Amino acid sequence: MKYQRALIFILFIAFLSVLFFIAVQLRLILVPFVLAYIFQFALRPLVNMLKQKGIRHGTAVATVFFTSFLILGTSLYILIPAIVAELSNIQSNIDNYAGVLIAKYNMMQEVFMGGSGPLSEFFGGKNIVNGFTESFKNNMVFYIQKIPQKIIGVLPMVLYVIVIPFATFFFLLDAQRIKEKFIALIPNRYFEISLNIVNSLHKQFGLILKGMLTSALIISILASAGLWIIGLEYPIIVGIFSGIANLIPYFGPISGTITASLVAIVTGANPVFFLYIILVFLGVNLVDNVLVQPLVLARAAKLHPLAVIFLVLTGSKLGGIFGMLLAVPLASLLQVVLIILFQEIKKPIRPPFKDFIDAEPPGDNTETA
Amino acid sequence: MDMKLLWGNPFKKNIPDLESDIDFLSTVSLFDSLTRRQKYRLFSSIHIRHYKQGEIVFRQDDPGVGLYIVRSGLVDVYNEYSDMTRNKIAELSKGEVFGEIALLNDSLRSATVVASKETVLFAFFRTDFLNLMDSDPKIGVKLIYSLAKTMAERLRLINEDTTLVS
Repeated sequence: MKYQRALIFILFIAFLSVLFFIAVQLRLILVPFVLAYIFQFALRPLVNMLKQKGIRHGTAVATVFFTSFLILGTSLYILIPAIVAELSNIQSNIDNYAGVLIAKYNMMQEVFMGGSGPLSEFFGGKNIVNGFTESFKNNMVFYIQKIPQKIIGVLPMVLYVIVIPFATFFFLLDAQRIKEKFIALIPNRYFEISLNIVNSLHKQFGLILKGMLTSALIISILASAGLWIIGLEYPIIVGIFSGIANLIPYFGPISGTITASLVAIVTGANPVFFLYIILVFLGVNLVDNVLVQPLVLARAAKLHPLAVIFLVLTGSKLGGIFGMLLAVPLASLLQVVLIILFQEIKKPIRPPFKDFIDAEPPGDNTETA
Repeated sequence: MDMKLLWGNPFKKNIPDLESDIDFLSTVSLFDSLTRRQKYRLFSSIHIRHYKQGEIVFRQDDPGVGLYIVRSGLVDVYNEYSDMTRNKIAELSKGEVFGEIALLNDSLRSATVVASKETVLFAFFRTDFLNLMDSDPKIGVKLIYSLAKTMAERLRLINEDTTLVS
């Protein structure tokens, strides 16, 4: 019996691994559906809010769907030109920024090593500086020019634009029914535990998603506003990058500061600017740690800091920045499943019910007792 | 070949079945305070399970996760004892409800339930109940009130039994 449970556990893990492998292979097709599922998760509380007012499910879904796409469309309409303007500004100034980097490097070399110090010799003289800046310049120009083509090339954009809203709408409308149909396929014996796992995963996913979206949004807005106030160039791009990077535990908050500092260097900002940047990110992280994290992330992931660092590094090795972003949420979902399965395995083994024999029927002694 | 199999929406409920299931819910005393529209909403949170004769629904001391309603068929309720004996304490038929305490807390099941013939059960679980209360508090209040009435009635019966025995 114990072996049977362990075997089921191993088979379940094997099944999850196969599922994960298939998902990785089909990731391009799965991405719009995953995004749609995430969007419906974010919109579901609004649907529930309308339903609380007595509005029918279908009407509530249609209202929330069209209103949120209208708001999202308007926001993008306002934001995208600003982001494109920042990107084209970077593109047109790339030569100046490369020149600034060369000058800064030369200046540092003059100050610290007098132009021919051991560091310079180690890297083979000034050629390394020119090589580095040339490569930096070429890469930046290449990537900035290629961004639109890359997006169109990698993601079938038209398909995404159609599939994501379509799938979001139907997930919102039929999520409960879809879940019900899949659960109907589970044998009675594993029905209760499967439902327990599905519901726990659902709850955990909701918490993680709510935490990540809220945190990224607040940090992006605060960082953009802070950087704009101190007068840094490209505040929106750096702010959004900081907001998304902030989702990577431990590594995220530092990368925002480093990016902003690099922008300050290449745009030739005053050295005192670095102090402002540090102050902005200290303030943003203070808000994140004191207000955002305790409110939205407290119940989401309960993992040891060492495990978190290990997961983030493993994620970066397996899937780059996306791997780093997704490692901890995926691990915390797996943790939920494993906890439930371990509890099931640890349950005391009882003899099968069919081995029990019927007890003697008790006499009706109510009146005499 | 039924073309619905090819072109139909597999997630859509069959309307005649749905209507008869809603009619059935109207006969269950736990739900008699709900309006027909509220019963449709409730039904969207219910899982339909089919059991063969002799199949176990749940065992005594399993963690309780929700209640069951007998849609058709028959189930036997047993107490299990440590000396490997069992005692049949009830037989539940169409329209009867069991396991409702699990809707309110996560205590262990107090008895074992076995299908004594081909049986269809409606399962309504705590998480779905909590979600339903969240999205439609009016249904939640009515269900809580019905559950409280059921519990009060049981407490009264237990008190009567205790008085008789003592």
